[in-house]
Amino acid sequence: MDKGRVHNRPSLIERLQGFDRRWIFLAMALAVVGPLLRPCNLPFKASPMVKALYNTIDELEEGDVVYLSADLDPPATPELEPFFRAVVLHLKRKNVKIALGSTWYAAPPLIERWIRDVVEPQIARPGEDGYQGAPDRPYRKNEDYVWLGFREGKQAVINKLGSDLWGNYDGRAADGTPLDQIPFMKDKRQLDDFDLVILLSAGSPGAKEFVQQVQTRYNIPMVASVTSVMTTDLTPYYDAGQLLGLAGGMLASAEYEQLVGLPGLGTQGADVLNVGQIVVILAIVFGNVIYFASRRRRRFS
Amino acid sequence: MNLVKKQLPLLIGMAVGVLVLAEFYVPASWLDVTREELLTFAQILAAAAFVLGGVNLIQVNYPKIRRREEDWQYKVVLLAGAAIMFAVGFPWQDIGENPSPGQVTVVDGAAAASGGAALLRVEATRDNALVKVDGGSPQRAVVDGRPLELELQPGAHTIHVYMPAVGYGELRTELEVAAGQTAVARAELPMLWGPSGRVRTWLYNYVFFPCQATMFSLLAFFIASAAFRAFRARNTEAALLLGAAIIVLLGRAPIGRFIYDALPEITNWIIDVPNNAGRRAIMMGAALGGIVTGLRVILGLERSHLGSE
Amino acid sequence: MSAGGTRAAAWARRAAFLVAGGALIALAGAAAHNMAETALFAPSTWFYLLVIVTMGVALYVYIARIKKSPHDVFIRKIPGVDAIEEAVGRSTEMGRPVLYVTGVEETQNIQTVASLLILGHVAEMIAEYDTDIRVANAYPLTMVLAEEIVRQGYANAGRVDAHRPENVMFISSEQFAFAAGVNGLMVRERPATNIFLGRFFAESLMLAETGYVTKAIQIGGTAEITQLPFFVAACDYTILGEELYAVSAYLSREPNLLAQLKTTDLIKAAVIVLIAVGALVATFGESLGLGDFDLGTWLMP
Repeated sequence: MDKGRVHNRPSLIERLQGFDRRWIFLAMALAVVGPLLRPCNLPFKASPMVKALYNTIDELEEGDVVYLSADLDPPATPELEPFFRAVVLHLKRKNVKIALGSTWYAAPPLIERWIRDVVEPQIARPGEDGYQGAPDRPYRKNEDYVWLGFREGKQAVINKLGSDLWGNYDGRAADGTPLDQIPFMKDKRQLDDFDLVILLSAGSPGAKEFVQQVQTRYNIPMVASVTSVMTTDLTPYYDAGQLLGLAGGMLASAEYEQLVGLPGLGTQGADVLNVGQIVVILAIVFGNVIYFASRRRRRFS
Repeated sequence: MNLVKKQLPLLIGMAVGVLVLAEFYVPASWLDVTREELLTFAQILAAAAFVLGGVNLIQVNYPKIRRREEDWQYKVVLLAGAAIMFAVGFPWQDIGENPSPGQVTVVDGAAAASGGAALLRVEATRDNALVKVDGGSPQRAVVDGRPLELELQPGAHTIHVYMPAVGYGELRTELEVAAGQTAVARAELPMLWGPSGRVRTWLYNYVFFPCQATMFSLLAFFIASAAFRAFRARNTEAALLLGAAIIVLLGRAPIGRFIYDALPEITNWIIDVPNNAGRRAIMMGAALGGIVTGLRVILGLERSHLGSE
Repeated sequence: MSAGGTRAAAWARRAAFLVAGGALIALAGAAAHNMAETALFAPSTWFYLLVIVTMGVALYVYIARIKKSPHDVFIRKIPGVDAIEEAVGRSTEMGRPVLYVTGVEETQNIQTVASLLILGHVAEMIAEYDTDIRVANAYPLTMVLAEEIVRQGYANAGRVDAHRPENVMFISSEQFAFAAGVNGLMVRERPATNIFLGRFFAESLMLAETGYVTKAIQIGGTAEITQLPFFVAACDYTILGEELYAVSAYLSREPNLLAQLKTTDLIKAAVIVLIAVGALVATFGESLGLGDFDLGTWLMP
């Protein structure tokens, strides 16, 4: 028997102060996986910025041409791919021509996959998967859409798009087709000639650089879909009227899916957002409980 | 030597900087043309920097491998990975004769076609090739080990033979057939190399994409643990920050409207008013700081980018 | 003259300066609005030209004045900067290196330039304290410059023999590969101090959290607004936005750099006044008989 040693079991507060953050990681993992396996399907409403974006695109007419710049990489796909699918459906329903380009080197394989999966085939048929809207149609390369490719140069490229788009792409599409052989590109020499510029942006160079370099200078109508962390950075531009619409993050993509009537990855992700944000809030509350309890203990000890 | 290392770069920087700056204020067309050319130079230099980066990668890592420094094995992996991506990203098929994706020949005689129709026979070298006729639904080009045969109405048609996976040549052609004729589409569908090639696309989809996505998804866990650690109401400001964070977090998620109907509107107010005000102030300050630093570089007052004396 | 009299004179000078500035803007604006566009000048850009010319002139004027009395320039305390020396001392005591990360942007980016300027001072400090440094760079050119700057810092401290070029590393230009590499460095080498100064994106939180796990003191600074919240949450000290540009002036008190601070402050003061005037005009313009006059549009047509 130990007579000289006193066993001091740490109190609950002391044990909580050494709380292993891997429990938080586990809670977050469950928060992400759970709603994907068992959707909660909580309803949500489109925000004013997303509605403004939708209305801007809805005002386009048949035969209009938009420039879509997809400046993103693989990590941004959960937030931006749902928006891309929804906006392309919206454009195809209106028979709007699309010119796609990018300033990010990691984007082309993604964009080429999206072109094969979303732009070229028909993606929405009334009655399928609960879709009730108007059907779209398959888009033909260099007749309904053109993939211009990627150009390195960041702000220099964006600057040049504003004044000489053809020069930027050496007068050719990514597959080598001369732009003067693509009917809807014949008079589209600079961004100003397009009816709308749509930006999918995951960072820099992206929406901010487009607004700073070309929107201000040439007064080009622009809308943007960005990752959620960039939303607050771009809100001032929306408030100033430099962006006609702004979708920030996965929830905004889900709202846009709802507006076009084709729920997809974004809508699934909205559930994950719900639960994930609750986990973060609970972590904050728990951290404060530990903090105040240990402060109280120190005061009274 | 100082002239070449210090004075000349400064002069070039000043001249180019002033030219590009002046173009914004001076509508003279020659300035516009000059700016366009300078932008093209910038694009070329940016692309060349990739080559420089590659060379530098070898310069930095190869000596460490040779000297067997700590973790030299990882540097072998690094250089091997870079070499593989370079090799598969090069369009090897463009060297010499470009392999043809195939061709379509029209011959008389369509024994299997019913009266008044023509026949299309697709002979694809790859079993899982697909065929689209006139933009219709895709069909397998090889059925039970035999080439696909389709009846066609006499007239003009478009044929598209392709692989479901990216990185192969495609046979895309228009043809005109009359009744009783057979169009034989011989699709070679060669595997391609280069930026849209098979191997590079595979490496992108199954190595690069998952690695990047995995690293980025770590942020979800780090945010939770950073929030647990950092958002403590130590004082009044911290408590305000904490309260705003909770309101915005809840308001941004669909569940916020269930907790309190006006929560999303309160969230939008927090983001649009106090957040925007602070953000604009920081943006303006940072922008002004950036402009003045840039001006110092253009005016030659800042020389640290030229290296030490 | 009494202290009160000196203060009154200073305020009178500021008021006179304000009135003169306002008169200059009014005159320049009136002239520009009455000027037709010529090949030499686009009148719509008059305000931008005025700002740039004012900045340029102010830089030279301040450099000349500060060279005469460099210690008269007041810079408020920046806690993050004061902490650098303390943190370097901690590293020396613990016998562990200091990790310095120059950001993930290219050398020509203004934030990277600012970071490299600060690196020189930090390297000199580290050489004086006889501790070790590890510099992680995302671009080869940045690595080359950083190595020269560190060598110069050691030379300034008279310890050029202690400099080891292999301590200045190029990790990767790929964002998350860079983050993984630096995280690995932190976990293996266990630096006692982490200094993250420059342009950062999504990897900022990864770096800061990993640094927290290794129990390092962390000083984070960036002008990238989207990443500031992560540094604030995860680092012990944060250098916010334009403070990054002020740090090198703070440490070196070079007239060139101090002049930059003064110039920025001058323009900021002008912007504050313009915002106040613009808000008043927008609110009370009609009752003052100004109709629907908009100061913003008048300044930047």
